Amino acid sequence: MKVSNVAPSVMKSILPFLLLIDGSSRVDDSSRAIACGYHVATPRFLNAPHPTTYVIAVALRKAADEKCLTLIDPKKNTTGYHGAVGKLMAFTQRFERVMQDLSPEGPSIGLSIVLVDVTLWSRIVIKDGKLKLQPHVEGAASGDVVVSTAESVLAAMLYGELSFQEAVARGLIHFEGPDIKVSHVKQLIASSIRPTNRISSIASQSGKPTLKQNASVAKLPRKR
Amino acid sequence: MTRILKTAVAVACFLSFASISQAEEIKHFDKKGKPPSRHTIALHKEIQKSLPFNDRRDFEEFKRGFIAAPDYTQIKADDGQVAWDMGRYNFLNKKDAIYYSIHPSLLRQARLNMNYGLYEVLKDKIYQVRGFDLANITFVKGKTGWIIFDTGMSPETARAAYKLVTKHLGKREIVAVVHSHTHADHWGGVRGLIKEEDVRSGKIPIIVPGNFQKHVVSENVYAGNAMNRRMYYQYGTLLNASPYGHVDQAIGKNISRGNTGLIVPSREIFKDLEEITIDGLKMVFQLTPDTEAPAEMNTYFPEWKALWIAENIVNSIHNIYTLRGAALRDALNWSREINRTLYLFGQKAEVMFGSHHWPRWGNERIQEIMRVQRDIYANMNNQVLNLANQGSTINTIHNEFKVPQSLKNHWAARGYHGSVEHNVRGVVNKYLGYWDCNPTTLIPLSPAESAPLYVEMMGGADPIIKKGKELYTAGSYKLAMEILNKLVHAEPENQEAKDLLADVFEQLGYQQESPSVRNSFLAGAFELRNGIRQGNNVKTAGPDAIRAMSTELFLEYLGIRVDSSKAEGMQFTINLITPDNGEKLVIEMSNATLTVLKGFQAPKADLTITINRADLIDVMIQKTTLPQQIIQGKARLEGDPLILAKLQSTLIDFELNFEILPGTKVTKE
Repeated sequence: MKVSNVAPSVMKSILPFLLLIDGSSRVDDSSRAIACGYHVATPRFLNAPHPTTYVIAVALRKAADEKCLTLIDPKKNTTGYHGAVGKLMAFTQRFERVMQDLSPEGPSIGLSIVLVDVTLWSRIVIKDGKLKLQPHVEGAASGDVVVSTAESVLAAMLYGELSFQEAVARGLIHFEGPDIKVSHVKQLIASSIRPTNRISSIASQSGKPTLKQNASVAKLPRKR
Repeated sequence: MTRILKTAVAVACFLSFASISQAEEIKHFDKKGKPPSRHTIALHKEIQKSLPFNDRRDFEEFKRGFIAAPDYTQIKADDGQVAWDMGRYNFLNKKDAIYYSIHPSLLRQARLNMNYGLYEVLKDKIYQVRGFDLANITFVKGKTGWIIFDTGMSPETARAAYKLVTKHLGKREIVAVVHSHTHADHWGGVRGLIKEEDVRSGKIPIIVPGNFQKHVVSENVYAGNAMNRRMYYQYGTLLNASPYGHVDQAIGKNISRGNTGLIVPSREIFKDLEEITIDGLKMVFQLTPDTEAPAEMNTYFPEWKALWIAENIVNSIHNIYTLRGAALRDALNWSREINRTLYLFGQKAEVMFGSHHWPRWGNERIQEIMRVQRDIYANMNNQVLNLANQGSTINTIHNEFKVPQSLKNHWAARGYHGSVEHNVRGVVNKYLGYWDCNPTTLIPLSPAESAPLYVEMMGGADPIIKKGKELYTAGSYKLAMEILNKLVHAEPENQEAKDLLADVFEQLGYQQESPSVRNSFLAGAFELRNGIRQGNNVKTAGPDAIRAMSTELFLEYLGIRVDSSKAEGMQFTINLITPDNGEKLVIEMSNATLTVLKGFQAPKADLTITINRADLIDVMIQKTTLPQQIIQGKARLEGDPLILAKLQSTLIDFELNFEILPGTKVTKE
């Protein structure tokens, strides 16, 4: 890959990716995913792709019960794996746009995303000077900020039905990594997501969006 | 006459060894494989002279009642794979062929197990389909329909058997199914014969011995992965069918590879003797617990003087100790139950038929077989204890115990499924355990720890290889095995040593009468030469068997999956409630150990999971995941969900292809 074609601002943010995609990437054993839920006929008992899975599962149910989120019904989901990848690609495109606009001087980051409801790990990497999605990878790469959420949440955020802030406040999306990187990624994602079509229930109750992460996330066991 | 029928008749005409004139030349399937040595050939020629091959009653019984064979030898599984293939063993049908790579007695048994097709047991009343699976499928005529005794292991083969019966005997509905005992080759084919809703509605009863369901699953769960791996050895699962490989499985040709299923039985027999009339047919069920299986039963048909003997009697010594791994069986109790059957029904029965092999006709013959089987189990028990009480140990008994000559000369007391040698060690193990009372063997070094010193003291690899070759050439295979095994443990990457040990294993395998022991040596030889072979994974339990598993058992298996080193310092308590069946369980992680207790709840659990048993089953059979059940609202969590992540972080997924022999991990297709 010719790195000289990459815009300097992008280059700085994605420099760690370059190291990770040329063969030096390493899968963190403890967070290693089973193959994706769309491709495995036999998911295993207590084999969630990430420790936050159970927390997010509870949050998803609660959000659905409170009519704040429409869950993707696995029985009616005809797009399957390709639908999930499509959403991740749309997210990647938006992420790239805001990264170039908002983060010329921000700290460099790498991003691993896990959709816990469908057990699908992906990474965002740079290829030919652009951010590219690598769907269906083994798991989180060392040094990445890990974003764990659900396909339903990603869809709702992309379609403007759920704000990023509400997703965070409800424990529907979690971040893991060094504070400064997490903060940077949160800022980029918040900017990537279109303003919500409806008023956030939590935001409207409290008068302002709640950005504080679910307290339980802070207690997550590290992935080492 | 069809080609297959001709073949079957040819098989039926087999073969006194006196008429065999020449050895058969077939190429070895393994490029490193060796033919039988002159020592192996000499041994087999000697055995040929010493055993009663002129007693041909088994061959007469084996062909009696033959109606028809199908015009195919392969049965496809629903997933497109081959579930059953009798054609693999056609080399055994070759008239006058003799294979010195097969023990003569085993070759005889392997030919007897080539029966294939539909057979009449009792005119217009009882029929068997044989050679469609490891076990027979028996069709007993009721007033209006068929009562099935044992279904084989796969629905695909059971379906094919029913088709064959219908083709030749006309269409009759199945009105009841009897599973004689808890092993999968006797119930796994049930879904190929009947529909679950007909059982639930009461239209078709499934009759089983008491505690059937409990034993069906409990026997194969806790050590299931190790059992599956060891199955590659005992059953030679991945060996080629060949005179140099798999030739037989003693109680049948092989295990089928279909989609094993289980329907929850509707009637359990708990009385010692229970008379039931189904479809106008009177049957007396006789429980025989703790014999060949923990729950097993015979059935007597008084109006026909016909005795269904289940798997309590076969044309072989059965396993007291099963090489793939299983709880030890009670030889004395087994003998006692055969004796009881003899006195209850055996002295009046005119035909005795079972779930393996062929029937016995005539009361004199029936009593002869029953006494031989009764006595061989009792003799192994009594004489082993006789010798143990004089100082024999688990490490010497197989070289000291001798089968009485009268039993040795009876084909029904030969060690096919269970060799005498490994069974008598099993008897010692049952009563005294694995320790021979020599302190040296009480807390020994692991082989990999002690072997390097042996090798060093023997002067290194070269003299061991040299001596190993000398011993191999002299036919002293067990001595060669002793020293080469040390070298392979000390130097797992020494391919020359592994190849030489493989050669030794191979000759020892050829010399075995028991296919289980033969397969074990040949599988070991294959892995030493080529590495662990991939493919054709066997399953311990399909979804139906897992459905039958209690929640307590399932959670206890989780406890086995916990890696204690990852659970150090963890302390949590989980309450599990399954409202639809009213069960409550408490799970505790403490001292790096997971424990489960049914019927109790912790007062202050860190997490409480509420999920209907029906929804938990979908997770257990891996139809969905626990997070999905939470998302769908079918499971409710109260407390800290991260407890589940903590528990998950301690769990290990067992790999089937773990190494048994050193230096075999490198895999080759």
